[in-house]
Amino acid sequence: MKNKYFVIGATFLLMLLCEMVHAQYDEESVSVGFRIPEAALIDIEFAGNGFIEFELLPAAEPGSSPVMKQTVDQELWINYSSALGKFSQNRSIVAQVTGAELPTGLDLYIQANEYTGTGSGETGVSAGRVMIGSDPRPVITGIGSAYTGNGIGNGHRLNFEIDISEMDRITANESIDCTILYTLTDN
Amino acid sequence: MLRKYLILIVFCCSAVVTQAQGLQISLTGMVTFNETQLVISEAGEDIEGTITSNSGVQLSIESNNYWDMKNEKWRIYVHKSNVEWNDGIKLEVKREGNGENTDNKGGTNIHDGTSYAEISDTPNYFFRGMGLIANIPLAFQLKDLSLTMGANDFETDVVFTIYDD
Repeated sequence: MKNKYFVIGATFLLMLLCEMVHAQYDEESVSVGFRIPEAALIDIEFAGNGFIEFELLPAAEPGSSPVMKQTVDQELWINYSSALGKFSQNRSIVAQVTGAELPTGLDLYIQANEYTGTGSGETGVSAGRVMIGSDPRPVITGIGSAYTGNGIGNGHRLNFEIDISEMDRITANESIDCTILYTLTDN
Repeated sequence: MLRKYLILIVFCCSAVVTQAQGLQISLTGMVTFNETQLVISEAGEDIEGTITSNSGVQLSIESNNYWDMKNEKWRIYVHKSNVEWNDGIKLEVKREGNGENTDNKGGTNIHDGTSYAEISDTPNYFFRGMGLIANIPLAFQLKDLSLTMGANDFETDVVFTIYDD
Protein backbone atom coordinates (compact mmCIF):
# COMPACT_ATOMS: atom_id res chain seq x y z
CA MET A 1 0.00 0.00 0.00
CA LYS A 2 2.85 2.36 0.93
CA ASN A 3 4.55 1.53 -2.36
CA LYS A 4 1.41 2.45 -4.26
CA TYR A 5 1.26 5.96 -2.72
CA PHE A 6 4.95 6.45 -3.28
CA VAL A 7 4.65 5.62 -6.99
CA ILE A 8 1.59 7.84 -7.45
CA GLY A 9 3.35 10.70 -5.67
CA ALA A 10 6.51 10.27 -7.73
CA THR A 11 4.47 10.23 -10.94
CA PHE A 12 2.71 13.51 -10.15
CA LEU A 13 6.00 15.08 -9.07
CA LEU A 14 7.57 14.08 -12.37
CA MET A 15 4.64 15.48 -14.32
CA LEU A 16 4.90 18.73 -12.36
CA LEU A 17 8.62 18.96 -13.17
CA CYS A 18 7.80 18.40 -16.84
CA GLU A 19 5.70 21.54 -16.74
CA MET A 20 8.12 23.61 -14.68
CA VAL A 21 11.50 22.79 -16.16
CA HIS A 22 12.37 24.15 -19.58
CA ALA A 23 13.78 21.32 -21.62
CA GLN A 24 17.01 22.07 -23.43
CA TYR A 25 16.73 21.18 -27.09
CA ASP A 26 20.11 21.92 -28.59
CA GLU A 27 23.22 24.12 -28.44
CA GLU A 28 25.69 25.36 -31.05
CA SER A 29 28.77 27.54 -30.83
CA VAL A 30 30.69 29.92 -33.03
CA SER A 31 34.28 31.05 -32.56
CA VAL A 32 34.96 34.77 -32.15
CA GLY A 33 38.52 35.98 -32.52
CA PHE A 34 40.42 39.20 -33.14
CA ARG A 35 43.87 40.64 -32.71
CA ILE A 36 45.24 43.78 -31.08
CA PRO A 37 48.28 44.56 -33.29
CA GLU A 38 51.63 45.85 -32.05
CA ALA A 39 51.77 49.63 -31.76
CA ALA A 40 54.56 52.14 -31.08
CA LEU A 41 53.85 55.87 -31.31
CA ILE A 42 55.83 58.73 -29.78
CA ASP A 43 55.33 62.47 -29.74
CA ILE A 44 56.89 65.54 -28.10
CA GLU A 45 54.42 68.03 -26.70
CA PHE A 46 55.49 71.54 -25.81
CA ALA A 47 54.23 75.01 -25.08
CA GLY A 48 55.54 77.66 -27.48
CA ASN A 49 57.93 76.73 -30.26
CA GLY A 50 59.72 73.84 -28.58
CA PHE A 51 63.14 75.55 -28.46
CA ILE A 52 65.43 75.19 -25.48
CA GLU A 53 68.13 77.88 -25.49
CA PHE A 54 71.35 78.16 -23.53
CA GLU A 55 73.84 81.00 -23.36
CA LEU A 56 77.42 80.87 -22.12
CA LEU A 57 77.98 84.00 -20.07
CA PRO A 58 81.39 85.33 -19.12
CA ALA A 59 82.64 84.80 -15.60
CA ALA A 60 81.47 87.31 -13.03
CA GLU A 61 85.00 87.78 -11.77
CA PRO A 62 88.39 87.32 -13.41
CA GLY A 63 89.69 83.78 -12.90
CA SER A 64 86.34 82.19 -12.16
CA SER A 65 84.42 79.84 -14.43
CA PRO A 66 81.94 81.14 -17.04
CA VAL A 67 78.28 80.44 -16.41
CA MET A 68 75.97 78.37 -18.64
CA LYS A 69 72.51 79.89 -18.37
CA GLN A 70 69.28 78.48 -19.80
CA THR A 71 67.61 81.54 -21.34
CA VAL A 72 64.49 79.85 -22.71
CA ASP A 73 62.92 77.03 -20.74
CA GLN A 74 59.77 75.62 -22.24
CA GLU A 75 57.97 72.55 -21.01
CA LEU A 76 58.64 69.53 -23.20
CA TRP A 77 56.79 66.30 -22.54
CA ILE A 78 57.19 62.89 -24.15
CA ASN A 79 53.88 61.11 -24.92
CA TYR A 80 53.77 57.55 -26.19
CA SER A 81 51.42 54.68 -26.95
CA SER A 82 52.79 51.14 -26.96
CA ALA A 83 51.35 47.65 -27.39
CA LEU A 84 53.79 44.78 -26.98
CA GLY A 85 53.49 41.14 -27.97
CA LYS A 86 53.15 38.59 -25.19
CA PHE A 87 56.77 37.49 -25.41
CA SER A 88 58.32 40.80 -26.49
CA GLN A 89 60.83 42.66 -24.35
CA ASN A 90 60.02 46.09 -23.00
CA ARG A 91 60.83 49.17 -25.06
CA SER A 92 62.99 52.23 -24.47
CA ILE A 93 63.06 55.80 -25.66
CA VAL A 94 66.49 56.80 -26.89
CA ALA A 95 67.71 60.32 -27.64
CA GLN A 96 70.51 61.56 -29.90
CA VAL A 97 71.75 64.86 -31.33
CA THR A 98 71.20 65.30 -35.05
CA GLY A 99 71.63 68.11 -37.56
CA ALA A 100 74.79 69.56 -36.00
CA GLU A 101 77.37 68.58 -33.46
CA LEU A 102 77.50 70.18 -30.04
CA PRO A 103 80.29 72.76 -29.64
CA THR A 104 83.44 71.16 -28.40
CA GLY A 105 84.00 71.52 -24.70
CA LEU A 106 80.29 71.33 -23.88
CA ASP A 107 78.23 68.29 -22.77
CA LEU A 108 74.45 68.09 -23.11
CA TYR A 109 72.47 66.16 -20.50
CA ILE A 110 68.81 65.15 -20.55
CA GLN A 111 66.87 63.89 -17.59
CA ALA A 112 63.32 62.62 -18.02
CA ASN A 113 61.05 62.94 -15.02
CA GLU A 114 59.12 59.90 -13.84
CA TYR A 115 55.78 59.26 -15.51
CA THR A 116 52.72 61.29 -14.57
CA GLY A 117 49.40 61.71 -16.36
CA THR A 118 46.07 60.23 -17.37
CA GLY A 119 47.41 57.12 -19.08
CA SER A 120 47.53 53.52 -17.94
CA GLY A 121 49.56 50.35 -18.24
CA GLU A 122 53.24 49.61 -17.87
CA THR A 123 54.72 53.07 -18.42
CA GLY A 124 58.48 53.53 -18.52
CA VAL A 125 60.93 54.74 -15.89
CA SER A 126 63.50 57.50 -16.15
CA ALA A 127 67.07 56.47 -16.97
CA GLY A 128 68.28 59.42 -14.89
CA ARG A 129 70.67 62.13 -16.06
CA VAL A 130 72.02 60.97 -19.41
CA MET A 131 74.71 62.61 -21.56
CA ILE A 132 73.46 62.91 -25.13
CA GLY A 133 75.63 62.80 -28.24
CA SER A 134 75.36 61.65 -31.80
CA ASP A 135 74.80 58.03 -30.71
CA PRO A 136 71.36 57.10 -29.31
CA ARG A 137 71.23 56.80 -25.53
CA PRO A 138 68.22 55.60 -23.51
CA VAL A 139 66.44 58.27 -21.48
CA ILE A 140 63.32 56.22 -20.60
CA THR A 141 63.31 52.43 -20.20
CA GLY A 142 60.94 49.60 -19.29
CA ILE A 143 57.99 50.62 -21.47
CA GLY A 144 55.47 47.82 -21.79
CA SER A 145 51.91 47.92 -23.11
CA ALA A 146 50.80 51.37 -22.05
CA TYR A 147 49.69 54.85 -23.04
CA THR A 148 50.65 58.07 -21.29
CA GLY A 149 47.78 60.38 -22.10
CA ASN A 150 48.10 63.17 -24.63
CA GLY A 151 49.49 66.67 -24.24
CA ILE A 152 51.45 68.70 -21.72
CA GLY A 153 51.24 67.22 -18.23
CA ASN A 154 51.09 63.65 -19.55
CA GLY A 155 54.06 61.33 -19.89
CA HIS A 156 57.59 62.32 -18.92
CA ARG A 157 58.75 65.93 -18.67
CA LEU A 158 62.22 66.51 -20.13
CA ASN A 159 64.91 68.56 -18.39
CA PHE A 160 68.02 69.85 -20.15
CA GLU A 161 71.41 70.85 -18.85
CA ILE A 162 74.73 71.81 -20.44
CA ASP A 163 78.02 71.39 -18.60
CA ILE A 164 81.38 72.85 -19.53
CA SER A 165 83.73 69.91 -19.82
CA GLU A 166 86.75 71.49 -21.56
CA MET A 167 86.91 75.25 -21.09
CA ASP A 168 90.06 75.61 -23.19
CA ARG A 169 88.28 74.28 -26.32
CA ILE A 170 85.28 76.60 -26.22
CA THR A 171 85.14 79.23 -28.95
CA ALA A 172 83.53 82.61 -28.39
CA ASN A 173 80.73 84.05 -30.58
CA GLU A 174 79.69 80.64 -31.78
CA SER A 175 75.96 79.96 -32.14
CA ILE A 176 74.83 76.44 -32.91
CA ASP A 177 71.38 74.96 -33.43
CA CYS A 178 70.99 71.25 -33.05
CA THR A 179 68.04 68.90 -33.02
CA ILE A 180 67.41 66.10 -30.57
CA LEU A 181 65.80 63.03 -32.05
CA TYR A 182 63.75 60.71 -29.79
CA THR A 183 62.98 57.15 -30.86
CA LEU A 184 60.69 54.58 -29.24
CA THR A 185 62.61 51.41 -29.81
CA ASP A 186 62.54 47.71 -29.00
CA ASN A 187 65.36 46.79 -26.64
CA MET B 1 -0.50 -3.08 -9.74
CA LEU B 2 2.97 -1.65 -9.24
CA ARG B 3 3.81 -2.47 -12.84
CA LYS B 4 0.93 -0.33 -14.04
CA TYR B 5 2.39 2.75 -12.33
CA LEU B 6 5.86 2.02 -13.54
CA ILE B 7 4.54 1.99 -17.11
CA LEU B 8 3.00 5.42 -16.42
CA ILE B 9 6.37 6.78 -15.22
CA VAL B 10 8.17 5.40 -18.27
CA PHE B 11 5.54 7.02 -20.49
CA CYS B 12 6.07 10.42 -18.81
CA CYS B 13 9.86 10.13 -19.16
CA SER B 14 9.63 9.26 -22.82
CA ALA B 15 7.39 12.28 -23.39
CA VAL B 16 10.09 14.55 -21.91
CA VAL B 17 12.83 12.92 -23.99
CA THR B 18 10.77 13.23 -27.17
CA GLN B 19 10.18 16.94 -26.53
CA ALA B 20 13.88 17.56 -25.84
CA GLN B 21 14.82 16.26 -29.27
CA GLY B 22 12.44 18.63 -31.09
CA LEU B 23 14.37 21.77 -32.10
CA GLN B 24 17.90 22.32 -33.31
CA ILE B 25 20.07 25.41 -33.75
CA SER B 26 22.04 25.89 -36.92
CA LEU B 27 24.72 28.58 -37.31
CA THR B 28 26.16 29.76 -40.60
CA GLY B 29 28.83 32.35 -41.33
CA MET B 30 31.84 33.64 -39.43
CA VAL B 31 32.41 36.49 -37.03
CA THR B 32 35.17 38.77 -38.29
CA PHE B 33 36.32 42.17 -37.11
CA ASN B 34 38.03 44.82 -39.16
CA GLU B 35 41.21 45.51 -37.21
CA THR B 36 41.68 48.82 -39.00
CA GLN B 37 38.98 50.08 -36.63
CA LEU B 38 41.61 49.80 -33.88
CA VAL B 39 42.81 53.37 -34.28
CA ILE B 40 45.18 55.40 -32.09
CA SER B 41 44.31 59.01 -32.88
CA GLU B 42 47.57 60.41 -31.49
CA ALA B 43 50.62 59.30 -29.53
CA GLY B 44 49.73 59.07 -25.86
CA GLU B 45 46.15 58.04 -26.57
CA ASP B 46 44.62 54.59 -26.08
CA ILE B 47 43.05 52.70 -29.01
CA GLU B 48 39.44 53.39 -29.86
CA GLY B 49 37.75 51.01 -27.46
CA THR B 50 34.80 49.75 -29.53
CA ILE B 51 34.74 47.82 -32.80
CA THR B 52 31.85 46.09 -34.52
CA SER B 53 31.88 42.92 -36.58
CA ASN B 54 31.93 43.42 -40.31
CA SER B 55 30.35 40.03 -40.84
CA GLY B 56 28.22 38.11 -38.41
CA VAL B 57 26.47 34.78 -38.22
CA GLN B 58 22.96 33.68 -39.06
CA LEU B 59 21.09 31.52 -36.61
CA SER B 60 18.29 29.17 -37.70
CA ILE B 61 15.78 27.22 -35.63
CA GLU B 62 15.23 23.88 -37.32
CA SER B 63 13.51 20.59 -36.70
CA ASN B 64 13.09 17.20 -38.31
CA ASN B 65 9.52 17.26 -37.15
CA TYR B 66 7.96 20.37 -38.71
CA TRP B 67 4.30 19.61 -37.87
CA ASP B 68 4.96 19.04 -34.16
CA MET B 69 7.32 21.99 -33.79
CA LYS B 70 5.81 24.72 -35.97
CA ASN B 71 3.93 26.17 -32.98
CA GLU B 72 6.53 25.37 -30.36
CA LYS B 73 7.71 28.35 -28.30
CA TRP B 74 11.39 28.58 -27.53
CA ARG B 75 14.04 30.78 -25.90
CA ILE B 76 17.65 31.33 -26.89
CA TYR B 77 20.30 31.75 -24.20
CA VAL B 78 23.88 32.80 -24.89
CA HIS B 79 27.20 32.55 -23.06
CA LYS B 80 30.87 32.37 -23.93
CA SER B 81 33.63 29.89 -23.23
CA ASN B 82 37.02 31.61 -23.31
CA VAL B 83 40.02 30.21 -25.16
CA GLU B 84 42.32 33.27 -24.86
CA TRP B 85 40.60 36.30 -23.41
CA ASN B 86 41.06 39.34 -21.18
CA ASP B 87 38.46 39.97 -18.50
CA GLY B 88 38.40 43.65 -19.41
CA ILE B 89 37.07 42.98 -22.93
CA LYS B 90 33.30 43.10 -23.31
CA LEU B 91 31.79 41.03 -26.13
CA GLU B 92 28.23 41.98 -27.06
CA VAL B 93 25.68 40.49 -29.45
CA LYS B 94 22.38 41.61 -30.91
CA ARG B 95 19.76 40.35 -33.32
CA GLU B 96 19.75 42.45 -36.48
CA GLY B 97 16.62 41.05 -38.10
CA ASN B 98 13.67 38.71 -37.68
CA GLY B 99 14.79 35.92 -39.98
CA GLU B 100 12.52 34.07 -42.40
CA ASN B 101 9.57 31.82 -41.79
CA THR B 102 10.49 28.39 -43.12
CA ASP B 103 6.99 27.84 -44.55
CA ASN B 104 7.05 31.32 -46.19
CA LYS B 105 3.74 32.23 -44.58
CA GLY B 106 3.81 35.76 -43.20
CA GLY B 107 6.27 37.23 -40.73
CA THR B 108 8.15 35.50 -38.00
CA ASN B 109 7.15 35.36 -34.36
CA ILE B 110 10.32 36.58 -32.67
CA HIS B 111 10.93 38.98 -29.76
CA ASP B 112 13.73 40.76 -27.82
CA GLY B 113 17.49 40.76 -28.42
CA THR B 114 17.59 43.76 -30.77
CA SER B 115 19.95 45.84 -28.59
CA TYR B 116 23.56 44.93 -27.87
CA ALA B 117 23.85 42.89 -24.67
CA GLU B 118 27.04 41.63 -23.05
CA ILE B 119 27.84 37.95 -23.36
CA SER B 120 29.05 36.63 -20.03
CA ASP B 121 30.56 33.30 -19.01
CA THR B 122 27.18 32.10 -17.73
CA PRO B 123 24.06 31.64 -19.91
CA ASN B 124 21.82 34.70 -20.21
CA TYR B 125 18.52 35.10 -21.99
CA PHE B 126 18.96 36.51 -25.52
CA PHE B 127 15.67 36.32 -27.47
CA ARG B 128 12.55 34.19 -27.86
CA GLY B 129 10.17 33.12 -30.58
CA MET B 130 7.85 30.46 -31.91
CA GLY B 131 8.15 27.85 -34.61
CA LEU B 132 10.88 27.32 -37.16
CA ILE B 133 12.77 30.43 -38.31
CA ALA B 134 15.72 30.56 -40.68
CA ASN B 135 18.60 33.03 -41.06
CA ILE B 136 18.22 35.27 -38.03
CA PRO B 137 21.14 37.73 -38.49
CA LEU B 138 23.35 38.37 -35.47
CA ALA B 139 25.96 41.13 -35.05
CA PHE B 140 28.80 41.30 -32.56
CA GLN B 141 30.64 44.18 -30.90
CA LEU B 142 33.80 44.42 -28.81
CA LYS B 143 34.05 47.10 -26.12
CA ASP B 144 36.64 48.43 -23.67
CA LEU B 145 39.64 47.35 -25.72
CA SER B 146 42.92 48.88 -24.56
CA LEU B 147 46.61 48.92 -25.47
CA THR B 148 47.29 47.81 -21.90
CA MET B 149 45.99 44.35 -22.88
CA GLY B 150 49.04 43.98 -25.11
CA ALA B 151 49.36 42.91 -28.73
CA ASN B 152 47.72 39.50 -28.63
CA ASP B 153 45.26 37.20 -30.34
CA PHE B 154 42.03 36.82 -28.40
CA GLU B 155 39.52 34.03 -28.92
CA THR B 156 36.31 32.85 -27.31
CA ASP B 157 33.54 30.43 -28.27
CA VAL B 158 30.03 31.90 -28.18
CA VAL B 159 27.48 29.22 -27.28
CA PHE B 160 23.79 29.51 -28.16
CA THR B 161 21.36 27.21 -26.37
CA ILE B 162 17.69 26.72 -27.21
CA TYR B 163 15.13 25.80 -24.55
CA ASP B 164 11.40 25.27 -24.79
CA ASP B 165 9.44 28.24 -23.44
